[in-house]
Amino acid sequence: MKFKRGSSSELVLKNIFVSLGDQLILDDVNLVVKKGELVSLLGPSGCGKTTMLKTISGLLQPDRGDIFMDDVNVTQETSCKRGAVIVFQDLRLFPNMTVEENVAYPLKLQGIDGKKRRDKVQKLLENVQLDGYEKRSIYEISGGQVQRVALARAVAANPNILLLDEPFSSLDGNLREDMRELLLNLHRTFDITTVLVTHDQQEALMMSDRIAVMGNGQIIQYDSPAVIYNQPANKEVADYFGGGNYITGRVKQGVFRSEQLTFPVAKADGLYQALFRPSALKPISGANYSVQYVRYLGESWQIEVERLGSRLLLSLPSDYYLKPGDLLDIEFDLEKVVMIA
Amino acid sequence: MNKSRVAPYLLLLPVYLLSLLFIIGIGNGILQSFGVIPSLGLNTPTLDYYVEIFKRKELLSAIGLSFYVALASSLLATVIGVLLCAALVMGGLAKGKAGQVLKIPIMIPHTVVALFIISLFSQSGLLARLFYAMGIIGSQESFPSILYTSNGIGIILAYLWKEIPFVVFFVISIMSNISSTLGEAAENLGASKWRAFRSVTLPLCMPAIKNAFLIIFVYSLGAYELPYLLGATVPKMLPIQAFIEYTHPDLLHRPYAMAMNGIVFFISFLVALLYYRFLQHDKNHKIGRTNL
Amino acid sequence: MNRGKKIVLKMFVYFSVLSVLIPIMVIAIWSVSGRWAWPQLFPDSFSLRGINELFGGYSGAVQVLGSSIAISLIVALLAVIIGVMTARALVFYDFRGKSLVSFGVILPIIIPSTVFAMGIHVLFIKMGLSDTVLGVIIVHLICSLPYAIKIITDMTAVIGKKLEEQASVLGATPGQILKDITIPCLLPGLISSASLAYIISFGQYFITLIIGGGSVKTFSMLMVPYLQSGDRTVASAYSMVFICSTLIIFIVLEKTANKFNKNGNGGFFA
Repeated sequence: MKFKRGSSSELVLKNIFVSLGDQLILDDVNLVVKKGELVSLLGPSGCGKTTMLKTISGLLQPDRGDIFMDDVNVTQETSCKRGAVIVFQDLRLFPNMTVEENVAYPLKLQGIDGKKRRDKVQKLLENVQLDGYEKRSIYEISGGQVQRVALARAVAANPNILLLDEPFSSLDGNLREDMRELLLNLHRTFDITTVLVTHDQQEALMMSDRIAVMGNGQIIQYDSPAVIYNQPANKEVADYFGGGNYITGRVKQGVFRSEQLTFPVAKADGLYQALFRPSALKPISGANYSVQYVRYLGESWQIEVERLGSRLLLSLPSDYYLKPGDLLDIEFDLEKVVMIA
Repeated sequence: MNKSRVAPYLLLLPVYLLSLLFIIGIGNGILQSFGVIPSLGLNTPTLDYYVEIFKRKELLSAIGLSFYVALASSLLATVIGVLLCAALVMGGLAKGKAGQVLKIPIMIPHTVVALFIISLFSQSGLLARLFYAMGIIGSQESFPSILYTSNGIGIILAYLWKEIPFVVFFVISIMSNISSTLGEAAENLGASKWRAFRSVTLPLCMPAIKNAFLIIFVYSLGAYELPYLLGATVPKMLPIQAFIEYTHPDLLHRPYAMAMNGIVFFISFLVALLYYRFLQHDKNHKIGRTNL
Repeated sequence: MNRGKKIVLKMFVYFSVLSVLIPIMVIAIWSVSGRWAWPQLFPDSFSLRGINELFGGYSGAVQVLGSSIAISLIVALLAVIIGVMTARALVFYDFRGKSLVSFGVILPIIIPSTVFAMGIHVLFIKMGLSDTVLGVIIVHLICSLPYAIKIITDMTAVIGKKLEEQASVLGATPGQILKDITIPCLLPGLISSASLAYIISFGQYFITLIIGGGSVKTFSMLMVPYLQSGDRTVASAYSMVFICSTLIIFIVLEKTANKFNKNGNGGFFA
């Protein structure tokens, strides 16, 4: 079966190894992205996210392993035939073309001409709310608009897979919100299989069907946002979503025991860390803990309390009023405990 | 970095071919300078021709004159060029009309420059007429002869007209870069404008300045046009003397020509090594990019 | 900086500007002067003798001007093509002898053309390239290539591969990338290189004389006898034609380039 670019595909990576120079960047990566799914690649900088996108798109050749799109092995296809379109972090608009020409370029490459091309460009610019900017030079539009052009151009290429490399990282808060919304809209409209690279956990949680957390060139955990958040595979993944208060203890016959607390839990025997995120702790009246510091975060307070040398972090709604030195007790919300082996 | 096997060599094919011609050409010349011309039945390498050059008075003075003209013109051009560059950068004039006008000499060939110098500085030139009109000189003959003399002043003036703008454009982009970043930082720390220039901008421009000097020095050492059009009959400058020997009907004179070229070649090869070192130095320090 | 210093600075710059302009103006006047005897500051009479001599039928100057421009344009075009190829090899690839190549390509800037011209002449006689247009084009190319390579290599390094990668993932083949992205983005550098190569080729006297051997005539070679004969009117007319034709070529080059690049700002005077 011959591979054809031009329609949303399923993407499968099998045992991918990639090295740059002497350094192994991707170390046995396996990943399945279903047709029309939006998957986030989440991880610290330097963990191989960008390398992965370049490998999927064909800009880099893997040392070993295979890439399939809709069951066709595309590992040997050149990047121009593969249809895995990247929106790079630096966006890379062509400086020798106007806004309109940038978006029209992939259509031109597909051999779409004349009125059909003009209409399509017009439609795409409307999709990204840029109608009226057709004739602008790319130096005459703002940062957010550059992003929209880059997105529209990528969609114009009719990608099998859309790959986004931290496209919003250079934008400030509100604008980033808008762009996320826009991307979700585009994804809904065109139903393109999408891989989004990000190091922003909020972004990953709110946008993705599934999240692949990466570290050291490997995928540590690949699952739905809720599972990743509530059942992190290890401390590394948990830390990536803010970490919190780890309490080390042992489970024996269905009961977790530690110095601070004991509670029943359905886990096999062994050493565990019980993770309580700051929002899973509540102050109650008592005198076992003393407040160390209080930080105002707008929506909430961040509070650290101490008892016999061990410290806990709490996140409280801003209508609480506590000050350093206040005494209190802590209630652990056992519904929200995350057990990590 | 890509590591494709054949691609770079294919891309470099034309450069390899031209370099081959260049190297064979120079190698040929060097070989002949050691007296190896098989077609004339000369097969044993010898240093005689080099030794003899230093014995023949007119050849020795040709070497002396060439060095004097090359050194004087390129030193002056470098100093004035750098000052002009600084004036353009500090006065914020680099991008204006003045900058455009100063580019003109780069596009004008040496032959035309020779005509400029003749019509301005010869004894019937405009300057002599101006002096006469002002009563400074009484006749054409009392205007000092600048051209066709053994002091080489006419040639030096012509080189200055060509080379000062060359130095300016070799140095100006890097100088304005440095001046607008590090120079400003130095000023911000309390250095005066001139002090900031002398202690920060100028030292960082030095590799580019040195390279500009090297290029114009070897150029004026080896170039033919200006000495041919503005030089004295005696003594002749090195390239002229070499060409006379080269075109001598008696082919046995050719090794002398090649030996004179050989001297210029060895000097310029040393200069090339220096140039490359400054270039690498420039790159390693990531100061910025020179124009040429 | 106080005002006094600023005035000195400006005077220095304006003096330089005048030093460039005055000789050109003097030559312009000479080219149309009839009689301009000592010690007059202005010509006694004007005439079109110089211009007529040039464009009249006998000198053949117009044909030589045409073929000279053609030779120099070919040199400029070849310099740009080879410059782009060499720049890509030096910027995007690792290969054996890379530093030797980057050293080798600057050599012709440093080693005077008189030195290599005589050596190459001997070689060209053997190869049948002396006294031919091809031979002249090759030596002109050797002289102008280092500048083209330097300019285009710097520019290629700055632009990098990013836009080409983007075009590739959007579906452009290597040929389309070259035509739509690489060349348009490099255009300012290509125009500067072409202009510089053109000047270097067009102005060559000695090297054309020795390799062309008198049978390949260029405009520079036609001009020199008049310089030596002391006929300043004709020599000045030739010089003015030289300068004006170069300017026209530059303007044409820039205009053509701007057609292909809307944000274009290449060229010698950019």
